[in-house]
Amino acid sequence: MSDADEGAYVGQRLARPEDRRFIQGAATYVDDVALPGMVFAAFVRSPHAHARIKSVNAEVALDHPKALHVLTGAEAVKASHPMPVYSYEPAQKIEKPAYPCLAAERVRFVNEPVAVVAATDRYSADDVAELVEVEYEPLPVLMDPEVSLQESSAKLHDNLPNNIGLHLVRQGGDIKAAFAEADGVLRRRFRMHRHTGSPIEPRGIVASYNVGQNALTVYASTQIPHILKTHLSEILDFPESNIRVIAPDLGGGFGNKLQVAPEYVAVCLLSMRLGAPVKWIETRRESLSAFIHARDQILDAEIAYKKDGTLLGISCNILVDAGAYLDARISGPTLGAGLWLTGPYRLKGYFCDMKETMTNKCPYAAYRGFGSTKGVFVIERSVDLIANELGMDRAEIRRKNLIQPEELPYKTVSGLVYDSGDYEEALDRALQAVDYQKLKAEQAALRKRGKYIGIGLAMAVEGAGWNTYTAAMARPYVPTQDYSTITIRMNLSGRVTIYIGDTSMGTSHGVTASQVAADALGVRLEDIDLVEGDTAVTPYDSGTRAARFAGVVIPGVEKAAKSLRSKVARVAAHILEAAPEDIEIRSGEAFVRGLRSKTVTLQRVAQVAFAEVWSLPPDIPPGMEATESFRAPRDSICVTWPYSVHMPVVEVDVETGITKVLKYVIVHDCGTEINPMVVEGQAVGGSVQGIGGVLFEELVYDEDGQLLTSTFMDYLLPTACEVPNFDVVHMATPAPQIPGGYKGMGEGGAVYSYAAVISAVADAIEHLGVEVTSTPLSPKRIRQMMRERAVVAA
Amino acid sequence: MIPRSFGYHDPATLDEALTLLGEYGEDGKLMAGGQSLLPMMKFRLASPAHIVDLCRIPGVDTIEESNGEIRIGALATHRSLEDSQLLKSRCPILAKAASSIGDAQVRNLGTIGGAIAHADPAANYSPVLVALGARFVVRSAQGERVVAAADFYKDTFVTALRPSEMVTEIRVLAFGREVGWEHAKLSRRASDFALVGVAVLLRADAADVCTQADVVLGAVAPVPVRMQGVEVALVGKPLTSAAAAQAASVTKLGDKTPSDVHADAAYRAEVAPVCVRRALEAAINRMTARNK
Ligand SMILES: Cc1cc2nc3c(=O)[nH]c(=O)nc-3n(C[C@H](O)[C@H](O)[C@H](O)COP(=O)(O)OP(=O)(O)OC[C@H]3O[C@@H](n4cnc5c(N)ncnc54)[C@H](O)[C@@H]3O)c2cc1C
Repeated sequence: MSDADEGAYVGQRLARPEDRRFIQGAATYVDDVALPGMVFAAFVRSPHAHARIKSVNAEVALDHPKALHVLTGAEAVKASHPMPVYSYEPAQKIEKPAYPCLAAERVRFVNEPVAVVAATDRYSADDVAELVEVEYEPLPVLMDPEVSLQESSAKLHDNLPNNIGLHLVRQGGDIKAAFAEADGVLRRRFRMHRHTGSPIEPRGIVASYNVGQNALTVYASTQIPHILKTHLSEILDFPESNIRVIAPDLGGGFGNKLQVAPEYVAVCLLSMRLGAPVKWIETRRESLSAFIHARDQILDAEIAYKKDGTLLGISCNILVDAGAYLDARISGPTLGAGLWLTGPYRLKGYFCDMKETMTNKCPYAAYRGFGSTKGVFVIERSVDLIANELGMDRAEIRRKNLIQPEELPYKTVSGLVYDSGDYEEALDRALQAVDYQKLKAEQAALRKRGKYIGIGLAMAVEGAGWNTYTAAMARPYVPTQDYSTITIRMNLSGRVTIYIGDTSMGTSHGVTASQVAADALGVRLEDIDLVEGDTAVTPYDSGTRAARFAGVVIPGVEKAAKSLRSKVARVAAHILEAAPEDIEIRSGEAFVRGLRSKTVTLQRVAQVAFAEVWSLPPDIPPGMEATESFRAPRDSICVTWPYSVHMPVVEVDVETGITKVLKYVIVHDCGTEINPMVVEGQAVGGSVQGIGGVLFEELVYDEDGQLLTSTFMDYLLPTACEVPNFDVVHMATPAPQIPGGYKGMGEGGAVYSYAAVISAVADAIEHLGVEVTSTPLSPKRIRQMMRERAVVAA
Repeated sequence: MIPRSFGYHDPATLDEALTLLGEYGEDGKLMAGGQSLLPMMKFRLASPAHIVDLCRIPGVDTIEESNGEIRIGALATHRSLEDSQLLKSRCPILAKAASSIGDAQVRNLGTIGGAIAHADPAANYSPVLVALGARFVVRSAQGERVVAAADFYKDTFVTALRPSEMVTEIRVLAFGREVGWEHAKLSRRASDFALVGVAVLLRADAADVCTQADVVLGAVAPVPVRMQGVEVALVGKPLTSAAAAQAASVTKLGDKTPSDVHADAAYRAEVAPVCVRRALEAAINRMTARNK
């Protein structure tokens, strides 16, 4: 291959071909799907946080002229298996609390679905749902995870005697020795509050059961079309081969849409009863109250350190408020928090006890960053507090403890195996990019004038691609090693289509996969299309999750494209009467190396392969397609290890508690960059979620279990006005185990940013005598801290 | 998020609208920009049987001055107030109050009449209109009356309007650079409703001694509340930042101070004096800038 071919597209800031349809409003979301004879579903939901269902009466509802059907929990339970629950720790045995798609006997959170109705139009569906009469007998409500653990507390599930949904313990290194050696131990209770990912497109499904073919076609807003198909087959006892899941354009996922929504199952049941397509698009209120909640954890940590700032060990008890039911991917956000407690630092000892407790809240599951967001928050905040205690600079204490390039690959005491990079270099570049010393002087000057700015600093190594995760999702269909299988086909026209079994949720799969495939094949970017999300035409895949696209899926694309290239070369060689080894392919043409006059277009090559098969020699199979798998390295729980340093500058108006992010520097390294613009988009987007999560977003329940923040008027997502400009500094240390050197990076923005924004607020106000160990850092909370400080001081 | 069914009417004249409203009584609702009504309907908190949409009625959205009085048509959008050159020079506090309502989409559709009638305690205009001593022209098929802003707001979402009545015009006295003014909305995000809203109007003599102070707060009670203590503390004092701080410290909220997820009553009580102090300072700065 000549030099000019290498990396022609990879590494370029290319606009996304997929933008055209998004910007022009021409994308197809589930709500854009309209099938002939389609009817509409609405859910009857519990107004109580905890109650026994005494009766459900649909008579009046069915009298509504537009009513078609009412499916109650009692009927649904007979027609379906409970929602699946798997653990990440393959060895972990869990008592599964039964999670029916519609509650039949008891409701355990406000807005839990108890029945689903079908009507001829969307408006009538809500009217019909309102007419379903449900009699409840209220039961005691559990809203505090610590109270849930008490023996005297009500029990939410018959098979969970202590309200503990899951209990994991992990240890590593020598925790006793680490603490024995310590000059000091920092002991703190850290708390991250309940909030969640908010895809602007809420959940939605069109389920269409074809009676004649006994086939179920499901258009769903999902990150996991294939896994959804597998789960639906299990839950509905329906042959997998007769289910087709199509995930059209996805208006955001953030991990929330890794869930097999109970509502999706109920809508499928409805369609199977009616023999008609049924559409359900959830409302924002349903989305905020009954979809997925996340983050909510109490972390009691002890960190041992030496006088000189050397960190020795961490021990932590994590209590997760898991809400009413265990989600299929239970333990992920919990285990992640535990695993990430060690940060990018050399530690000698580690212990972590993790419990998931049941309460009468919306079920808890994945949200971008998974568990790591909480673990990183705890270790980064602890390092800051230890620095304060020792009078050290926050950058210097990190420098002292950072794992060095020559130590990589490095196995942390929690069991992560970091692959490559230079963490200290990233720290230095961040300090330089914000102009740390100058900023500190400015901060000091402003303080004298009663203006308080804080310089945030946080860093971590992200795990991109999860090995055991895959097992959790589709056991027993998928082994415990992540992989991707890609099909790539040249069409009769010479254009190329890539088939991938996941869905792009703003993650730019179209442009990045095309860049890699175009380079590997020698075709032009504009001659490549991507087909995703349709289980009938794409290879099996575990979905868009865990930042696995670049590190796991892309190598598969590259491999399949190379394999297709050799097929193209064979046919071209036949046409040009040359040896396949002598064929070069560039810009959509094949030619004999060094002999540009002997050229054939790929269109002609494809024509021969498809339509003039009689002319092919017998050893060349017809068609022009390749399918290849890439198997991820499995020496660690995750596949690749990008890392980042975040330094936001936040102003805190201490009189009102209002915060403003003034500036934001990101240094990051995700190995070889396919498209730096896409990388920046991911880093910035994730960081905005961190700004939202720390400063604005909060799911607030009252003591009766009513959600007080169930609209976007009260659940505050940051808007353009609340978000600063970002400076992104790129580093690129190739992933040593991944062909091409790519590392995933989609989640990290929503990990580092939390710790960084918290650190910035702390830096702005801690000198006034408060200590920041919990979130949200809302105006009300900041004022409360200031008030309590005044009381302490007085 | 899915409203109940309703009848829809889009009359072409004000008289037609008022007749329809008179006919439907409690079952009818006017719709102006729909920015408050539609969310209520979508949550099924309001389910009017008939909507009388005002969008096709011409001539009720003008902003004009005559004899020192500014008359604003009830259907004038927040955006048109924000952009009005007349308001910017003759009643800038109202233009500023309009400019921080929600976001651009809300301001393009929402109207001053709708905002007044909706009477959200946290709304931007209400403290400003009370401070300005505004008067609202209110009309029904039976006739017209004029209600002072201070008498208009009765309770959270409750006004002096009868079901058959519509606000048609808002009247305020114009002022010039002799008045120091400020409207401020303390909110979590730029587009959110006020946690505390403040309207300040200050007048002074040639020596910058305060002759009149109007200080009204929003979002701290079911209706806008005049901070009489603060006003008394200012009048007769030279307008300095020390006087502002001193007067602001008198700010006192009543026992109906609301609590919600973003701001409990304690929070509001604590930040209200800060908001008042800052607004007074801004108003004083504007006033002293006039001399330069
Ligand atoms: C996202 C968002 C953010 C917002 N933020 C703010 C904010 O920061 N500050 C703020 O002040 N407001 C805010 N609002 C409310 C906004 O100002 C609305 O425009 C206003 O409350 C209602 O005006 P409207 O023209 O849309 O009235 P509509 O919604 O059409 O009507 C509201 C009510 O008034 C009645 N009505 C309407 N016009 C008249 C009339 N002429 N006479 C009598 N009755 C009438 C209707 O029957 C209805 O009961 C926000 C709204 C939204 C959606």
